[in-house]
Amino acid sequence: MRKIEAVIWTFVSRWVPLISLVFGMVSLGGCQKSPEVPGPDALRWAESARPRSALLAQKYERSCQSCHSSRASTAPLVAFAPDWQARLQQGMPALVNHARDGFKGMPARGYCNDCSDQELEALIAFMSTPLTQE
Amino acid sequence: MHPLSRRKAMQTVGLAALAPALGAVAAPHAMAAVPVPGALPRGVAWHNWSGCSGGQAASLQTPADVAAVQQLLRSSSGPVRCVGAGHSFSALVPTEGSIVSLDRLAGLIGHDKVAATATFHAGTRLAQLSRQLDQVGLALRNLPDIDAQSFAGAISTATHGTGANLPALHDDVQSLQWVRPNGELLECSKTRQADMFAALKVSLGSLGILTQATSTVLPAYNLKRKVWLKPVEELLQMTPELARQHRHFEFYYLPFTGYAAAITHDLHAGSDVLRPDSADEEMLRDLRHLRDWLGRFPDLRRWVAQKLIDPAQTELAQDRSWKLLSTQRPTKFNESECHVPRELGVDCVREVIRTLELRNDVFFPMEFRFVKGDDAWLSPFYQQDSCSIAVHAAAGEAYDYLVSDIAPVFRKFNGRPHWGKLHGHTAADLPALYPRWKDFLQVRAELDPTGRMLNPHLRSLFGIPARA
Repeated sequence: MRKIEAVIWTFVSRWVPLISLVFGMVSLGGCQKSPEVPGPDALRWAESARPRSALLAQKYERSCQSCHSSRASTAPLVAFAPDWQARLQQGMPALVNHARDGFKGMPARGYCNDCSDQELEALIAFMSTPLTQE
Repeated sequence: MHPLSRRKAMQTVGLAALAPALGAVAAPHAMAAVPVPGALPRGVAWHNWSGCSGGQAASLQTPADVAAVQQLLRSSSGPVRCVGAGHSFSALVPTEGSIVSLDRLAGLIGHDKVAATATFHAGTRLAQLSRQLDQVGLALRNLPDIDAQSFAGAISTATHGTGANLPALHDDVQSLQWVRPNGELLECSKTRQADMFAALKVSLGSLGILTQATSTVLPAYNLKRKVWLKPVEELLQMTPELARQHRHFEFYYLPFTGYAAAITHDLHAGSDVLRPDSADEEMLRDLRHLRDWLGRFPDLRRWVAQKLIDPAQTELAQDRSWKLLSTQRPTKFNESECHVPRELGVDCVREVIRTLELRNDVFFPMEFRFVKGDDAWLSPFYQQDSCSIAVHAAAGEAYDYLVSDIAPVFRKFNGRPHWGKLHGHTAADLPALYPRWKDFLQVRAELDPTGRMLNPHLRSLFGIPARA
């Protein structure tokens, strides 16, 4: 049995990464999860931050906050620049399209059925603005 | 599914160690809406969270207040279906008429700490409701494991959490305000029009549009969570006792590992917060990789998994109740769930596991929970303490077997389907499972004689022919 185990471990540790690469299972830049981890201050800010506009703040609280203030959701964290850099490079129109039509974990309309494209853009701008620029 | 359970399982299992060797993260599939036959050529495209249900509606309405809801129903006669978060997997929402979102009817209206009640708009999502209640020192008694749902959507489908002595959300509702299909504004409660109230609490959006709810609440409280792994048969032996001992008990079976992740939540008197990082997503990826690489060799897959699992590890967490009980779900899935009489729960889950593991492509954890009985006519927990068994398949993968293979098992154990999840029950099955079924249909016919609040899925369930 030990021989079989050794063979399996050899397979897992040595060959799987190579085969994964060959078959495209390794994400080559497609994964946008930031390697940087937000600290306690960033998490506190994400929980407490609100858009300045009262109407936008209302929409943010009921539609966006739950996912974008939580690390567990894997959504980009409010004001945490490392989570937003690669996304912002796609351009705001692409991000608005993702919010409106749904993309990966983002539900279509972002749980905000009454948000216009302009409001989605304003919400994205708020969430992606680094803490230092607020 | 419970986020922490998967995360816990992952960390506790030690499968994370396999992750680097098995490759990087695979992006969740983004699924397209399924076209509805005969759908309108123009209108608003809509699909549910997982992408398994959808179609074209004539319009998507977002009324600003109760008067606008009344006006919407008075000024038109076409079909209307409400949508909450779109987290139902069954086709409750698709309509050729108007889809109504209560997103603008959201927020806490008031609370009474002496009476231990809170009143809020029916469109309030559970996450926002929990936050707003916490700000005034209150909390819901229990929560489901996803908190994106609107309150109206959650109670209308009998959404539930876990706890042998804890009922589903709708059982804590004290009164409801709703607009019936002709635009009339009505209210009912446990003491005012009690029969109507028992029909309305779980009514699948078929009796009108809920606009406001008053629910029993508790003083805000903290919970402590423990997650650990056990060989599934050992855990099944302990399950009744664990459900008795803990405020919340549930477990997830990890297919083709022989192990289950047990999760308990109990009241915690302290205010110290302990929140380990979530590894749910990593655990799911590892289970998927085990399936991808060893799926053809189930014995080897199980053997490797058992070598990687370290059952000695446990994970602990402490925080506000709503922060531990609910979360978001980054990885999308499709799901079927049934509620069986409590005394049959363990036998049923054994058969579900056996049936699931006849398919080598299965990797998503299976969930087992407890729910206390209640008195809502269409509640799956009507006068029946229950065990809830939920099976899942990753979005983008085959999921028809969740019904074709598992529904016969649920049926054998007298299971009642979760209304918001995929199921195989039909109008012919339901009267025998729900003692007040005919009473409900009579109330529905009186309130909505033209059936404008129905769609093809509901007509099929209720045995009502399509509109001419």
